[in-house]
Amino acid sequence: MNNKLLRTLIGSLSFTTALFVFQACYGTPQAVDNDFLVEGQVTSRASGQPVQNIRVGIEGDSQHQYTDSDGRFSFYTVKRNNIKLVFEDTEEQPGNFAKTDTLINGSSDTVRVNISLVEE
Amino acid sequence: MKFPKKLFLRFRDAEIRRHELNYLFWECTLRCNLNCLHCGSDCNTSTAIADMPLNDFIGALKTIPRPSKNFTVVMTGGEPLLRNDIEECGKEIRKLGMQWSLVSNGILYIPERHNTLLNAGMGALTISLDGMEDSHNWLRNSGNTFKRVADAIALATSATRLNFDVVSCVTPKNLSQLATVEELLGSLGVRAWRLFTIAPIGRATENRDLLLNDKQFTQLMEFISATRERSKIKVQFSCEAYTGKYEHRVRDSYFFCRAGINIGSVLADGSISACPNNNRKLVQGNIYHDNLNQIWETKFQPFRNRAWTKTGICNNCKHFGECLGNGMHLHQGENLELVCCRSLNEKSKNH
Repeated sequence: MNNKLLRTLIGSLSFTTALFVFQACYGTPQAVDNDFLVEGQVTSRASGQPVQNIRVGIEGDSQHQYTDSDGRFSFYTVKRNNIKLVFEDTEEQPGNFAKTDTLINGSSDTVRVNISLVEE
Repeated sequence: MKFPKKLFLRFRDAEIRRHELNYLFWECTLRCNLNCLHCGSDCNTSTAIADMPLNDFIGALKTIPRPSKNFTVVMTGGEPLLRNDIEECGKEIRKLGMQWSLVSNGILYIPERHNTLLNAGMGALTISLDGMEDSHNWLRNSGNTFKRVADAIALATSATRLNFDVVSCVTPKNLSQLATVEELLGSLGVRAWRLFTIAPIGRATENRDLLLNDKQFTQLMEFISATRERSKIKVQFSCEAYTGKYEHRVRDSYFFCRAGINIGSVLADGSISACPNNNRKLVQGNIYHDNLNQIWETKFQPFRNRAWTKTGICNNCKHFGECLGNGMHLHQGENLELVCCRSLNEKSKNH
């Protein structure tokens, strides 16, 4: 049996996953490719300018990020379909933007989302 | 289901010939916020060796032309979370098509950091818990870390996408607590638990009370073996040593020390080695004057041909074909004898 065939055979048997997804003595389990990158920019619909400090999160998940001074955000999240991305102005001072959301699918390695927010 | 040993040994030999690098430690700092009794590294609260700049490490990674699937960079230390740019490091690693993970003592693993680390694409995490409160705090040489570590573990288990496990260093002091620790971990939602022992290297050579004797080691093997039969938690013994008759009862697979086969490391000073706990005499190069990929492909012979380990207590051992001289960290240098053997098949032991 040649080596490639042997590797394929063993790798195809689920109970031997540990042979491939292993960990060193003092290391971690091996990371697996189960997430994707969501990135984009938030702007004001009225001015077209970037909006800072908008909380970008995923519905049903505590993971989130705030937009930077260029209105940009970028984070990894688990691959699945119909992810509701929620944009929320959480600053306490008035004159803010309406909460909005959009659906994305984690079917590729990177999904880009540009969104403009309406002032309340 | 038990995999046929003969087939596994053929697979192992094929893996050695192939020697695909897919698990790379990065000793990203030697700074640490603890001073553990058993630490095998040279870390300290302040260190003469500065943290390696991110760009230096990324430059070394870029020498690897086609990273394997699930190529994982394991950030270790010291305590990696003392670096404020870990998230940036992680993002840059992901841009190269690689995954990354973290080994932490858990003290700085708080909700804000959990969020930013996940945002940066952390794929796996290991946190250390060395027994119940008295044992953990004793080994960690710190009065009140247990509670913070337990909180960190609960936080980590809340992220189902993380490949997360807890490691426990088993000593004579916490050996009798393992069942209680198992209960605690179950209540915290832990799904994987890895146990290891302390080898007589590093600071442990000065504190023999940390080491299990043969009877205690057998007790540990029996605990792991029995727990694997009944527990919801996936418990296993680490890959640190060959265990003789307990092989495949305490792990999912047979013993296979992958140091220099699939596992490499870039140490704080740029040294290129296999596992970070391998003796520094086995360093193969340095990223500051060598090409990491070239070193991986052309050096590491002591790791890929371990015939030199067949000396001393290994010389006439009938298990040599299975263990290949045991874990490489148990050798203090090429052509030097094994410092200890955990094979428990007494009839075959010739020492």
